[in-house]
Amino acid sequence: MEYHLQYPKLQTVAFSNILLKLCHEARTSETERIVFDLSKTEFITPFGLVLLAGTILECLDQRKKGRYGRPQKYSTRKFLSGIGFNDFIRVPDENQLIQSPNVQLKRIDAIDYELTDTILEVFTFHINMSEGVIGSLKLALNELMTNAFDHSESSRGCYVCVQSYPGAGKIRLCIADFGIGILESLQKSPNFEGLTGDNDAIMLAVKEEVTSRVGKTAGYGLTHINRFMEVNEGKMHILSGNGKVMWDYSGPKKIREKSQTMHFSFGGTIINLVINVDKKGLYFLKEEEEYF
Amino acid sequence: MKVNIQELRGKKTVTREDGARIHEILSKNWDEVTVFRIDFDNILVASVSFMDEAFGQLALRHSKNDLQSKMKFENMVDYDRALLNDILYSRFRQKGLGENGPSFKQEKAG
Repeated sequence: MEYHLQYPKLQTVAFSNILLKLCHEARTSETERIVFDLSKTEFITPFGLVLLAGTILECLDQRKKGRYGRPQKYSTRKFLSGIGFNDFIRVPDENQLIQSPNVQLKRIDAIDYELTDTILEVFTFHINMSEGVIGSLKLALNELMTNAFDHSESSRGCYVCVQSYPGAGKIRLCIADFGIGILESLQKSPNFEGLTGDNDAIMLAVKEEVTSRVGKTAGYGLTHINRFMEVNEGKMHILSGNGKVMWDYSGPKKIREKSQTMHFSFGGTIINLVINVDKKGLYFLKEEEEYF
Repeated sequence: MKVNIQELRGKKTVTREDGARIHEILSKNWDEVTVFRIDFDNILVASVSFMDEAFGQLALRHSKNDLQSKMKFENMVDYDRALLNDILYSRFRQKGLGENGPSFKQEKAG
């Protein structure tokens, strides 16, 4: 008996309800064999990749057997092969190479700052970015990894994927952990015991000095990333539990925050950034105060 | 006293733990040393965790004047300098709000 999961044509953050439903079904299904059918999939962003890779590895860790239906579209198969997805989930590879190899898909079991440097080296070799964008990209990778390992209590590490889209002048970066999620993490601090909503917890987590690290000074990582996204006119999505909050600083409307309640809870946290490579990256001091 | 970030870390990147080590060195020698020269060797740190652990916490215990007179940051890239200033601003503001003891303004007035 197989449990069949049909993945959609587009695996992007805009389809997070569908993708989280599939993730939920795969993780909670009592059927031993799960089919991850990507036959209809044509486009996958880092968000889709980390969620898919994480879901498959979660199922394998639960001793479920997985079967993979490869995409019908050749360019999608080539893409998945080229970024190492096939190696990642141990399916036969077609040994395709992506021409601009500025893509990473990794599962990490501890904070890996070397990975940040490797990703930056690859990106700076291929893309012309200002010092501000390079610095902010490094900052985002470091802080998101630190958050994942400081707060998530995930026993299986976290998943990282960064991809550039030279034509659109964008970098998409996604980090996911399958841990306890932001709400539960914050509730461990006496300051936030009364917190109940996932979206409230997400919005609180990007505020300055908010941390679940009891007795520690911390709580600036997400705040700085959010401020970088604002000057960069990019986008940030955070999904955790049943919550999803988007900060959209692109376009004329510049939506500051937009929250949505997901139909299926994701036991963990996913942070997705869309960065403009040709826009500003260096954020400014709030009050133009300089000490050094 | 010279504190070289690259020598301390011995690798390409710096971590929160590295920040804690630097904080420990600074705190331990704070009363004896007139000036700490902190040399970044023009590496890009770009870590809130490191900056906050190493220097941000000092702002909770010392005044702005103390920090400025005791610490000299050398060979620091613009990005990290902006990040450092930003973190210090936030920590001074936090202290000013009274969340971690008396505010800097109160200290000065007193």
